[in-house]
Amino acid sequence: MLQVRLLGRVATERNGEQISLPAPAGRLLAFLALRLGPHDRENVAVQLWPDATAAAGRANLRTAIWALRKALGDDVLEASRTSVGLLPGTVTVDVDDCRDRAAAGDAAAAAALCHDELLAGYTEDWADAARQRQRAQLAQTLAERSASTERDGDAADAARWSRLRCALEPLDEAAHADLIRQLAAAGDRAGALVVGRDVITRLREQLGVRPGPSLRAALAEARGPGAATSASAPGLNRPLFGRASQLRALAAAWAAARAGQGRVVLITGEAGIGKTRLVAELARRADNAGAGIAMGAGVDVGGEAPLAIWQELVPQLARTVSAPENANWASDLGRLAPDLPAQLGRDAPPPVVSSPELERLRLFDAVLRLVEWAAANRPVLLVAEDVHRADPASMQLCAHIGRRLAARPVLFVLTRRDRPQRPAADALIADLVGRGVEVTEIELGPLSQAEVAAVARSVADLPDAAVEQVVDAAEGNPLLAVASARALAAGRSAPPQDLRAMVRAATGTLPRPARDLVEALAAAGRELSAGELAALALPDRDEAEHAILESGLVFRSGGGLRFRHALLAEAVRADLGEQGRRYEQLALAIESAARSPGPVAAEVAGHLRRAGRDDLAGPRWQRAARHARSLGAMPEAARFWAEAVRCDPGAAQPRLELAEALGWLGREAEFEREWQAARELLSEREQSVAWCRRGKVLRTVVCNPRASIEAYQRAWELLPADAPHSLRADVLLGLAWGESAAGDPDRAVMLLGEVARLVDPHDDSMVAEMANAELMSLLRLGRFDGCETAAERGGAAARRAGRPDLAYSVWIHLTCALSWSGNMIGALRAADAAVAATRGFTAIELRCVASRAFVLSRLGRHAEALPLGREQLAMADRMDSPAAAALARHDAGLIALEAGQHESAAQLLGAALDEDAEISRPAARLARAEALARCGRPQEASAEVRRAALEPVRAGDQPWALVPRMTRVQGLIALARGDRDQARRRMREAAAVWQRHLHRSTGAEYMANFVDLGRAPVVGLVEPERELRRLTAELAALDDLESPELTEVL
Amino acid sequence: MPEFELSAPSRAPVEEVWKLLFDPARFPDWWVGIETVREDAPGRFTQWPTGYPDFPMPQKLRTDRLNGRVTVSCQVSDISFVWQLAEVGAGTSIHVSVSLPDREAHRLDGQRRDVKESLVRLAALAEATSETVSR
Repeated sequence: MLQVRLLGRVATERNGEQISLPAPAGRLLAFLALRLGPHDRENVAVQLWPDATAAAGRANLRTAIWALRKALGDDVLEASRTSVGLLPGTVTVDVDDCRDRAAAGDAAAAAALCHDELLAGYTEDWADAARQRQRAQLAQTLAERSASTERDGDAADAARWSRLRCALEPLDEAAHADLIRQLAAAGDRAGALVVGRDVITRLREQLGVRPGPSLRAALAEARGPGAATSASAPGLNRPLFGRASQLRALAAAWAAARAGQGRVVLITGEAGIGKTRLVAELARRADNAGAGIAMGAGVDVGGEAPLAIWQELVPQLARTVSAPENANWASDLGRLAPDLPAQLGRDAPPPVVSSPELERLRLFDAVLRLVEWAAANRPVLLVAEDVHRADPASMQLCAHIGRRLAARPVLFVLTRRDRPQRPAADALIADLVGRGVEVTEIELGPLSQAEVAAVARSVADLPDAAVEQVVDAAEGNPLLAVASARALAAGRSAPPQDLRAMVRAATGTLPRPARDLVEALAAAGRELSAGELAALALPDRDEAEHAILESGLVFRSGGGLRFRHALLAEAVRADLGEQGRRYEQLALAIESAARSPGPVAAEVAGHLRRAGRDDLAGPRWQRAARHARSLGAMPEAARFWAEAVRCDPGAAQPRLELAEALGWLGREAEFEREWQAARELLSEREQSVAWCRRGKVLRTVVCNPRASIEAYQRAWELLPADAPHSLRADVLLGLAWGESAAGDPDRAVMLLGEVARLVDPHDDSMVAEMANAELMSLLRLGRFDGCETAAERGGAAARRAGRPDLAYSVWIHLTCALSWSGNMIGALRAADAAVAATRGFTAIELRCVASRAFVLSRLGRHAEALPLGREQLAMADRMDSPAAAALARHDAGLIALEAGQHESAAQLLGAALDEDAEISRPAARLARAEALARCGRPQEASAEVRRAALEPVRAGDQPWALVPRMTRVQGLIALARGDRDQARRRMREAAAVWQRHLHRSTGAEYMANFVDLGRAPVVGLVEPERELRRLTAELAALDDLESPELTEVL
Repeated sequence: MPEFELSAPSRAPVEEVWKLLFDPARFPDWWVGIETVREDAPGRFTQWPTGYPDFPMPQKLRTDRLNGRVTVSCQVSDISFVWQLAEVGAGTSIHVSVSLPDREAHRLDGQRRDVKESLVRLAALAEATSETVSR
């Protein structure tokens, strides 16, 4: 039996003998030992070699597996083409053993888990995430043991478990509140108060926050009746002068939000006018009311990482909530901060999907769900400061959240300067107001002279003459008032001319190490944490910190330091000039102190660019681009890839990545340019890879199957004889997909046979992709009988691979196939499978819901179909997608028409057409004309028919079907006018055309529809047999004027 | 490349002309020189010229993103007909652009004659359908 030790220093032994492993193999063993059993090879390679290209990562993994197998033998390691893992039953791992014993009540085992660091010495992201998971699991175990012994009446033993929990989580307020309560109950009141004092100190020094309500309540209880005290919040050591009316407006907004009428407040004013101070006052009140509070600020120094505001806000908000049950969204938050999923009780990484837009939507939805979860039991105050400096993705998410607060106890406060103009911020507010969100706008103007005088007196005990000087210099600006008052209090005879002069005066007298520190802080443009300050490795740091704190420019925030105001930092930065070394030192300090390099990569790269170190910046820009891509922030990803290209113009890989990002953004000309430039940099041997990647962009992003065939064909021709099987398979699969979509479906089937010979049958992503292409071929060939088998195979593989996007394609193709073959019950089953496979991925789940609604409607189950239309609309709203909402209205309109709700159908279809939904416009107009005719509005119906004839017609509109549909609608209009002869003639004419189209093979139109309309044609499926049956019934009813069924049928 | 353009008004509403133009099976009813049509696949049909029952001529019919525009191109002769409709009052303006490859230049006058006649027939047929309906 192999024994692996992960607690403390990682070690491996067998039968008492230590096994020595090369570093990569040791790292692989440690990774695999965290969870025995198979792991996906791609994932292992990405986790262990995150900065390597995919091919290099795979090669590194192969080498490490080889070394591991050599050292351990064949009996413990199981490796296939797609997976690698340690066989359970052949390995024991100390951490598993300890965890089991701790759960069974073994306090010593629990203490070992608490005190011995998991994977000590491993600094990579995966090790960090494992430690987070371990901590979260252990904290849960300890909390459960503590609660159970407390229930049994043993407060002292409960406190023992809680003390371990507090050692594990020294900033966990709930754990400390439990410990304080249990110690007090066990009679150790003094011990309880010591615990309370210590944790409050830690919270203040490390997080810069006051204790929350639960901790305050536990301490008050421990002190005894009447002993509760209140402490002033940090940053609030001076009273708020003036601003009474603005504070009233803010308090009113907060009161309304607390009552469940969520809203947005925008505070605008010049720099230094007191926006932050006003918000701090609100935060103090909200904290007293027990609210969850999270605050972030826009930063425009460095490389402007996407979602910077939310990278601050989300972790703070997550600290205010308990772990939700069965919440997939918590995994998605790991993209913003890797330790969040573990903190929220999730250890599984989020599934990978291929589209950045889907990634973005999922992340946005995850943040929204966190806000909703935080607001479920108490009010929430969110603050985004300085949105004039925010990155576009942060603004987008601000809008996404702001639009959805109406029914929740959430107040979202945004602050911005009034100059310079920031159209994005204006657009955000205009959008919120336009959507009916309650927005309170608060303008902060200059303080009155009396108020400025009060500010000056609050800074120092100044004589009246000096106060007057401050009033004159400040011009109503409290920041200038404070700075002027400080200067006069320091002995100057007059206030400096402007803020820059004031700052220069304050920094001019600082000793060199303190000036270095203040300049580093200014260069950062944000707070520097204790870790980052330490990593700067400045000499005499303690004295330097003391000196700059004394200067009044800077204050301590948690363990870190920050400028009292962004303007002060800007003033220092303006004097900094091009001090390259300063920026380089700062960049490397930020990077070395970061828990995970991805989120800070853009900032680090930006500082290195300013330092003139493009040689160092290039790899960081690449990392920043990958991180942006993982957030679905493609504009930023493209920008960062462009920077990487600028840093290393001779490298082909970044150019290929840039080309791909431009492709995703729909910038086709630039895609072509960069792709061509990349190709020119590649050797003959590498050309095939470039063409293969081009094919993938064309078949996925651009959705141009014919062009993708050409690219893959070229890749095939250039494939070196010794090309790896994986590349060969990728090229053939791409070709097969192209042929299945727009070429020769028989050839696609043949190519898929070739692919099957090359790929591992356990490579689930490939199996799902192959099934997808096979389904399209079968559909085009009209061979519906083979579709179910292919879909079952592909759907199961997509599920195993964690690819909801592929599962969507597979199940929706099957839904189409079964609908076309008339098996509507089977189609409903397939649509159900599609909905189940995409649950939680709103952008694709919505399409599956649409298909399910349509199939139900076709089955006449209108009562079930109609609510799905509303569900579709709600999903579209959640996605923030007017296009999806318009599409949902179109689908709901068709369902209403089938259900006989003609007024509703006319209204919904009209709205979809007005909103320019991505639909078959002529078909939608004809459907609306039918609804209008059936509502007894023949004139409007005629006008709609005319508009249908003037609409552009694409292949996907299936023009052959529009002709008889239009003729039938003309018949219905005639009937609405009371002209039965005319109605009969039109309907016969329509029936004759449908008669010609019976048994028509519609396979080729399937893909045209897919390409033109972007979705499979389940909704609005054309069924000549059904159309003919309906017309025959309508004609029969017309022929029998006395028929009691006439009204019902027509 | 030899080419020409022709226009004709029709008193029929645009939808009546549209239906005739989008349905190749109706072409023999108004298009001079086409005797029979067989629809093969979406956007593809075969026509047999009047008097030549053994001379199949595959055609492509392509609709367009531009309003009411239909392009019919002969796969044998490469002659291309681009039809476009516009609403004029209660009626329709029918416009057609015809282009021939150089090797078919000798057919220019004949094509002009046939297409002119076809335009008249199309307009009349649409009116007749419309009148029939409204009678």
